Amino acid sequence: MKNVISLAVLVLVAFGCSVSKGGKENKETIKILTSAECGDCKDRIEGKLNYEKGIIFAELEMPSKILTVKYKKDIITAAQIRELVSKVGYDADDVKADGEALNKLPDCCKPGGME
Amino acid sequence: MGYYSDTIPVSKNEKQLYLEVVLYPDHLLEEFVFVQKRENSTILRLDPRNVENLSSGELRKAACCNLSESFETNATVDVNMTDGISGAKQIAMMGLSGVYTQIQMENIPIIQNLNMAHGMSSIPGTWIESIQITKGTGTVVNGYESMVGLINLEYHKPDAIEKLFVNVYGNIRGRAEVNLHGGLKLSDKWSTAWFLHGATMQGDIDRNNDGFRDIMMGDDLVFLNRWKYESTRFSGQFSVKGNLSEKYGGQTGFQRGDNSGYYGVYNENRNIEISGKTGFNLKKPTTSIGIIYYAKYYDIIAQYGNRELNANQKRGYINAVYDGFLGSTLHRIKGGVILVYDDLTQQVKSDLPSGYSELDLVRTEVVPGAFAEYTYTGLRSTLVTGVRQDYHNMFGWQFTPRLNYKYVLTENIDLRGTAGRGFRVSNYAIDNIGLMATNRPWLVDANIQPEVSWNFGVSLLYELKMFGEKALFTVDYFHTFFENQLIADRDEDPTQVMFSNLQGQSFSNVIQVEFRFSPMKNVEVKSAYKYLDVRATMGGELMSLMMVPTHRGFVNIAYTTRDKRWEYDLTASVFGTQRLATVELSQGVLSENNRSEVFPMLSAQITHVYKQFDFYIGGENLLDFRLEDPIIDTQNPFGERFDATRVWAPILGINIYGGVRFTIKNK
Repeated sequence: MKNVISLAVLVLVAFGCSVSKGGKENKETIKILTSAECGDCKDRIEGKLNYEKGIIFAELEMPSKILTVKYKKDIITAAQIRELVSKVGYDADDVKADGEALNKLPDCCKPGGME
Repeated sequence: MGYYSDTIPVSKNEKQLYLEVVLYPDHLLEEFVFVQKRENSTILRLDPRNVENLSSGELRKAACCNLSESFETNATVDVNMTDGISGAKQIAMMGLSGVYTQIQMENIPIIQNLNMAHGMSSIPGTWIESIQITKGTGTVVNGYESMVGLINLEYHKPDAIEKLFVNVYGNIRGRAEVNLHGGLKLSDKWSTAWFLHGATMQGDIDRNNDGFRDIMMGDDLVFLNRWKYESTRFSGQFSVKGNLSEKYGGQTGFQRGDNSGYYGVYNENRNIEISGKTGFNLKKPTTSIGIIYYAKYYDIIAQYGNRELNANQKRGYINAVYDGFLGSTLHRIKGGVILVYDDLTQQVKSDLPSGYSELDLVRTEVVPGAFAEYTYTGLRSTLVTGVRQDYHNMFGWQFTPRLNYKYVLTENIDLRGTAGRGFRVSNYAIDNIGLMATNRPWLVDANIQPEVSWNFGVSLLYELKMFGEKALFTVDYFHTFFENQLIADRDEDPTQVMFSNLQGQSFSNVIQVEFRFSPMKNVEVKSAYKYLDVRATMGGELMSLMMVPTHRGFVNIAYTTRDKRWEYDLTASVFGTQRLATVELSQGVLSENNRSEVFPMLSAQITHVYKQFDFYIGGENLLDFRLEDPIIDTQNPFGERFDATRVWAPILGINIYGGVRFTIKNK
């Protein structure tokens, strides 16, 4: 029974940790229109951004192609985030995709790849 | 990927309708599954059959160990233990033993006869990319043996696999496991992949102090190597799989290869199989010919005390399928020929208090057959109907008709219906391997006939919006009845097990209700309830099947943080009461309480995703529910009353495990 209780505590603590972190005033959420085409693109963009310092979460919605990013203002800026998306190979609002990264994407992930 | 251009007539009054159009890729060779990859488990709405897809995301919910654990969060497939001393697991669908479910690897039937007993343990969970579970008899293309369901396993494909994947697992019971796979593209057309699984169970556990190990010790080794060739006109696949497993359990003093007076349980499985597929695209668009071949060599030794089973199986299978259409792709047809060769030699030697006996089963099956299947894809209706005719060298002509129909009522509601016949040749020993764990003699009817069943089902699927997210409600009813079945009768006389043909009725009625929704973003709740009424004539009376709970339900809650770096998973299940065998207790009186109790199971897992690494920790049976006295008359393991078949709940209590996954993607 001891095991059960300690595990339950562990679960609760872990849940708690991931929910609350840091102050509110320092955080901001932006929405970026990307040129993502498919589920693979979603993995690429989220996979890159979610491991960047200062980003709390990045979530791409398909088929709207809108990327929602919550981040800490003192660590990263909105412009830097768009730059990151571009480096993965996608347009981010008016920032065009980095040419070299775009070329490296598989065909399905390039503009028009799912047509 | 390109698609073959198609024209679908739409009349004026159908213009407002929600349209579902299937586009055929211009190089279609295998059976193509249109799966939306984003969700963990989905009902394939395009398919006229009742198919649920489990993606690797769903399979990750339970980190351990093989295929049987993959169904933990699935309402359709149940996992049961065969007996109290081997701890081997078997699946069940619709309250009927897993032998009535056909299991295939990428549309090749892989589990028949001998590997029905322990075949699941040779399919490591991490090798699998996705699983499709079809309720009902399914298609006629792959044979006549699916009676209540079809489980198709898609392994990781050589051309889409990680460069390297490593999973290391360990638990507090003393089990350690390593799973590896990887692959590479050799050229534009050639790719290869390799898979390796090694597991060892070193924990010598007897928590209830009855002198018997609660779980078998031993080792497993499984490997698979596969090759793929693909060009626009031609594609081919080839694979070799082998496995070796050796397990021992029983009385705690029993060691490997030791026969000095202890009650020992020993299982050894040795198996090698090769399979391949070749496909040619014909000039006519979306038309192809595929040839599927499979060969298997299987050896099994199973010992339970003084009862020993030795069996060997050699199997060959070849199936040629033409896939095309008539006029337009609205009318697709498939046709083909098939040849199955299956050679079995089996002996069960029992040296029991009631006397010494040898049961032999030697047979060679040669079954040529032909089939045709027609698929009509309308705007609202989809129909798949097929027939097959096989000639069995021992049992004559077998006619197998099957039908699946889907009607799209509205954009959000599908109705499905299915009906079909199933046929299989039984094997009393392998199909009931758990019954080796009783010292009661087996009496086998000399004229066991093949099993023949009919399955009918209807289902409703309703996709709705709740809390701004997609929710899914499904309800289905399936009825199966047997014209003939192998019955293991323990009711006629509790002091023996009689294997005979069905004399009377045997049926299963199952109602399953499932509801999935997201109460908030990133939280998914899956709940299911199942009512099972499964009965057969045993001992001259229509009785509930043993070890089948009447009620069964579960709730699974999955939460992923918005940055996708933490995954939490919690599953609570309830099993209703089950009928148990009447046995003679150690005091020499017959057991009076032959109904199990209701019991709960709780499991949880936390995964932390970190770039190339995933770390997970989890627990099973967290409420520590276990049977204290599952084995009857442990003092006299060679006496006539000894019986370890009344196991209706886990013997092992809580389990805590942890592990790491490491991935290098192929760029």
